[in-house]
Amino acid sequence: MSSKAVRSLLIVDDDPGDALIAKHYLEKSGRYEHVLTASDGREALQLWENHETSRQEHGGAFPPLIVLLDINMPRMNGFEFLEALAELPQPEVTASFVVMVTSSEHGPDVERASIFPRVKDYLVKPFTLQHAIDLADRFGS
Amino acid sequence: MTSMETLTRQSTDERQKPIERDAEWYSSVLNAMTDMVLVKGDRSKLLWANRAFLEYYGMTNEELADLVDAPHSDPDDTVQYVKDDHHVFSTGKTLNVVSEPVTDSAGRVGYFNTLKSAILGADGRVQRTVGVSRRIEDASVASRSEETRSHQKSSLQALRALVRHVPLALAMLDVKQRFLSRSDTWLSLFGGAGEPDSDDFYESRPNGLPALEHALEEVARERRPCTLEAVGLQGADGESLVVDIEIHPWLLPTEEVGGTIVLMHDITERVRSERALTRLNDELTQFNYRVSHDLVAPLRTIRGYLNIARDELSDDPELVRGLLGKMTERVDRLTSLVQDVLQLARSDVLEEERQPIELSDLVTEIMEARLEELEASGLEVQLELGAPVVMASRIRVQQVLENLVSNSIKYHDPERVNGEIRIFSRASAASVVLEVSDDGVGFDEELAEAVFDMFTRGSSDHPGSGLGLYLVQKHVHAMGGHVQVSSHRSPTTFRVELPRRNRP
Repeated sequence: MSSKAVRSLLIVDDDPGDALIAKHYLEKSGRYEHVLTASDGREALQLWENHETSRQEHGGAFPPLIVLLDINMPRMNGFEFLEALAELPQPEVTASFVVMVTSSEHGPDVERASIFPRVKDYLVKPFTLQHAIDLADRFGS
Repeated sequence: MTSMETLTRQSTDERQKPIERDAEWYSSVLNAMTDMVLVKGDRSKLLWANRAFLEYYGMTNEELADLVDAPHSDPDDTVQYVKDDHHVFSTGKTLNVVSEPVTDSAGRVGYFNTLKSAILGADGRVQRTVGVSRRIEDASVASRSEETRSHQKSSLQALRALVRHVPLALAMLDVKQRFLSRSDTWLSLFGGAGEPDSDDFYESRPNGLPALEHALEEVARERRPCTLEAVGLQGADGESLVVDIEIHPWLLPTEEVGGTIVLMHDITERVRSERALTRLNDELTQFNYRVSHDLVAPLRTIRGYLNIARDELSDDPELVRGLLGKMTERVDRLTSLVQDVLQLARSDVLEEERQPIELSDLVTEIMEARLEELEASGLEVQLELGAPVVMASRIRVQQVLENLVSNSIKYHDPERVNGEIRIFSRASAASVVLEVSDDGVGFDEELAEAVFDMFTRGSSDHPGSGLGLYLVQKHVHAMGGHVQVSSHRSPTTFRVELPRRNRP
């Protein structure tokens, strides 16, 4: 049985409840060394904009291998974050796979997400233990 | 002797015995003629006539100035003069009108042979026309002309009657974009005179709309019809109209273009309802999307909490207790969203008779229902009811006040002691004003209009569906009134104005 591990994952979600649920299962799966959180797109983007500080603060946790990105967020939503991220110099960001997180399977969001090459998949809330295991199997090493 | 020497000698002679060839000199020559001489400018405007003409018309040059024709003239004759003038103006060639009818001041019609010629400017372009008319003395020629004229006149009248009764907004114009005839439908849309009984008839042009004038010119020049779609125009009463315009050329028996036929299709109502429908549709799409999202998202979160609670029930009861609290909070928020959505749905179909509402009773009722929140906020309520009773739909007024008051409570300033909500009413002859004012945190000025939009929330730090003020506006509009933000912060004041009488 494989047990691939993920060194680091970032949750970007404005709903503290949803972030709490994801964090709970990621930790419970035992496959994630570090779980970071940001409360919206802007806060997440700042991690990349100040990547040297982020590296110092979070050590090996930055840059994260996976970003769990909520779509509907105030200040800067998921798409705006992806657009802003694409504008940044490449070396700091290439490592991350983005998985969009949505509340609805059939929203217009999923279609729109598919145009961003960094977006590898999407999942529908609520986050479960199975999600945590599947993501580690797919992207971990 | 060379011609130059002749000229020199002549001019020397003239200096000895000078003849002043000024305007008066030329006028005296023209006035001595028994032929009628008439000078016209662009668009057939009368500029000058000699004595023979003035006597026949019974008018002075001052009276003629800037007219197209004398008021006593037969309008259909005038149409023909205008066409002839246009021919001379546009070709520069002399036109020999073998026999034309001209009405004198006493209403008698005489027949004249008229030569119309172009007067060129220094640049070689036609600036004016001059017509010289000599009465036809041969009785048989005159009587033949009279026959032709009455024949033409009756066909023109028939044409005009036909155009007037066409059940469409239709107008017939000459090449100079002057109306020859308009249908009654046209007149009711755009106003104007139906019969050519005044000088104004020839002068009135279609709305002075540049796009239309350009299209009329092009159709007459290219001899091809054209269509202008969804053009904004001003109607007879100054109201805005949207029309599709069809323009066709019409030809004279000589195959020349005589002018244009313009057909206006009034699509104002269609455009208006299409716009309203599009707006409604957009609103509905957004509403569906937002409501389904706002309903589904918290349910999914609750589902996530339940998953954890089930897994951790025995291992970590403390965590589960915390999650139960969070779930309760989510369920409460969902309940309030569902209530707002239901209120919104009902507001569209609500039909309630106007009735006298005792404002102080209503406010007391609303406050009592919110006593707990009100006490927690520490807000004092001040009533200044200049109009103690309002005639309106009780349910609507109640929901308006409930929403405004609950915003005042929700957005109270926690730093402030002795904060207050002020409810004010005042009546004038036509309307009743209700104001709800507070000294809470308010909102940014840019939001002053957007606050009434669906799903606009004053702040993401406060819970809410973003439907409250949208609902307020809907109720106020349904009562024929309007609502506005009269101050966005310190104080934050919403002003509702309701008509005192039912509007039709």
